[in-house]
Amino acid sequence: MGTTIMTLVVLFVFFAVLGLITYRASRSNKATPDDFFLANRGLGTVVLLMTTGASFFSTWTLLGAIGSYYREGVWFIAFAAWTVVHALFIWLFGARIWQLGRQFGFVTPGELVERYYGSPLLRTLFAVVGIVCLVPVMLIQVTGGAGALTSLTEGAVPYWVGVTLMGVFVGAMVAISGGRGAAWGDTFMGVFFGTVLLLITLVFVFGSGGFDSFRNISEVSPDVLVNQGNFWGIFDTALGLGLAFWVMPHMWQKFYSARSPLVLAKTSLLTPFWNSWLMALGALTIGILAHYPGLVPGLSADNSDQTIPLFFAAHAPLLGSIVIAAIIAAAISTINSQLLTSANILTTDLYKRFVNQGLTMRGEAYVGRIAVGGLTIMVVVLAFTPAAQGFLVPLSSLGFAIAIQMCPAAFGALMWRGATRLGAIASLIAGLSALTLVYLVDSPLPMGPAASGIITGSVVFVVVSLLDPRGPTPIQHEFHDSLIRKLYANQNSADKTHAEKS
Amino acid sequence: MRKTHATIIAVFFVAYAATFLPNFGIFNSLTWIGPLSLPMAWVIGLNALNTVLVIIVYRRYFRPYAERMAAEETALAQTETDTKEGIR
Repeated sequence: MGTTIMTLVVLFVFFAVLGLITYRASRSNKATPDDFFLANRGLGTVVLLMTTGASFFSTWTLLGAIGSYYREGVWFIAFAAWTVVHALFIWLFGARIWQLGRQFGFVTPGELVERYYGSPLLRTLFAVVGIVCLVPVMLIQVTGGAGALTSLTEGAVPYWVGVTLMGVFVGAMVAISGGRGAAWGDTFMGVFFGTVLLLITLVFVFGSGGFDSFRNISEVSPDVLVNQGNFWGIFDTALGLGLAFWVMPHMWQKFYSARSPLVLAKTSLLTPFWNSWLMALGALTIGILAHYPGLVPGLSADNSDQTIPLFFAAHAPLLGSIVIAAIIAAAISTINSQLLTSANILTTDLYKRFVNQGLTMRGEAYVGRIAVGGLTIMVVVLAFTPAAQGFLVPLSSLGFAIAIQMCPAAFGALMWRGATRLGAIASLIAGLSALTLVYLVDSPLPMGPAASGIITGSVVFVVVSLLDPRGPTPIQHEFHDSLIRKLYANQNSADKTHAEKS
Repeated sequence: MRKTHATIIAVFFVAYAATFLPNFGIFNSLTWIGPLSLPMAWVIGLNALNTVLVIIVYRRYFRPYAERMAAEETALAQTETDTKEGIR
């Protein structure tokens, strides 16, 4: 009973602090879409780093990834590798997205692709796929957080209470404070759960032999210290979680939200340290060292997603409440951005674009708030379905797999002048069809749904674009010329100087 | 300079691709490199290399672009101010 009360007290304090931050953030809000959805394009380095990290790392990291490391061992270390790639993606794609967002005033990914390809249909497809891909990832935040709460309190706080509590709080928080509140909240929560992850990593290292901890594991579970093969299995997850970092709508919007390219540049510089060296390798250390005898009593493959709650339930139930708060912080800091972005897509790409083009800026922010409420209810209801309560990694991987099918079309708009409208539409349809087919029916090919989809989509994109007799439009030239001029000005002048000297 | 950029990006992705070698049984024995098993040490080593490449990209390309944009915005703001003062 003491544990339950302690957990509730800590959670109350946590929610109170978060509520205060949200309230403070909302006081600076203006009733414009830029302000409500993108924090007025004014995020600084620390806030952007934390909000991108916290939005991408979630219960998936503190629960699901640790469970995967426990079950699969070093095989899952690909997580640490693809999170460094995120930093390069900020340069390759984030800078371009920021540049075009600032130049044309885009608020959603759909606006950018519609402008580039001149296709309202493509914008609609991006909107629908964008929301659909976010649903499984939002779901695992709610189910993971509620599951951890139930686990630590040994059922005293039932699952439905956890789900409802998180749903109500997140919905209210996002509706009141918008993008600024989400970013400020993410900064607080990111620092909080990053610190907790670091401390737990250290506890596990020293609890299992310090410098020799991994050697000690070789005596009980040597299999987890070598890679189990299954390349296509991890390749699918790596593709999803690597590419989704820039193409998932809520991450895309983070790039629009940066105050300047220097903020993006610094975020890129710090990303490997936060995403890979802390988050991914911290999770690896905890997941593998959890095999140390007696460290996590009662742990098995079946409940390995609950490694941290089980550890604290056994050794330090009172401290466990702080960990539950960290897990819930990780969950809220992800779902808040995803809710906001989904609401933004519904409002801007669908309602305003196709139903009410005369919507005022104030009206847009108002409709956005209603959309946040509706989406929150949908997620809470879905959290009670059996499908939403499976392993966290496979469930979220589905969302990431769906998201990356937008990559070829988005890549064209940012990088490839030869991309055509027909190629982009065909690639998205082909990619999603292949993904669905492989997901539902056993494929004779070794690739999983994500890889099958994006390989098919990319091939279709290139082939259809090359066969399309229509060349690049003036707006396409404008996009690429402007990007090259801005991003590589020195290189162009260096090339020119070199040519003149020759 | 563009060639250097392309080379850095290529090296980065080759190093990233090499992190999957243990999946094919290469660098995947249970031998120890300090406190780490060989496949862990291999991936972490490549991670360190790619982190250095990210720092190089930041210094050579990302920061100069960002500073150019900041200079452009400052110049634009100055022009607007001058125009307003001229109108007065």
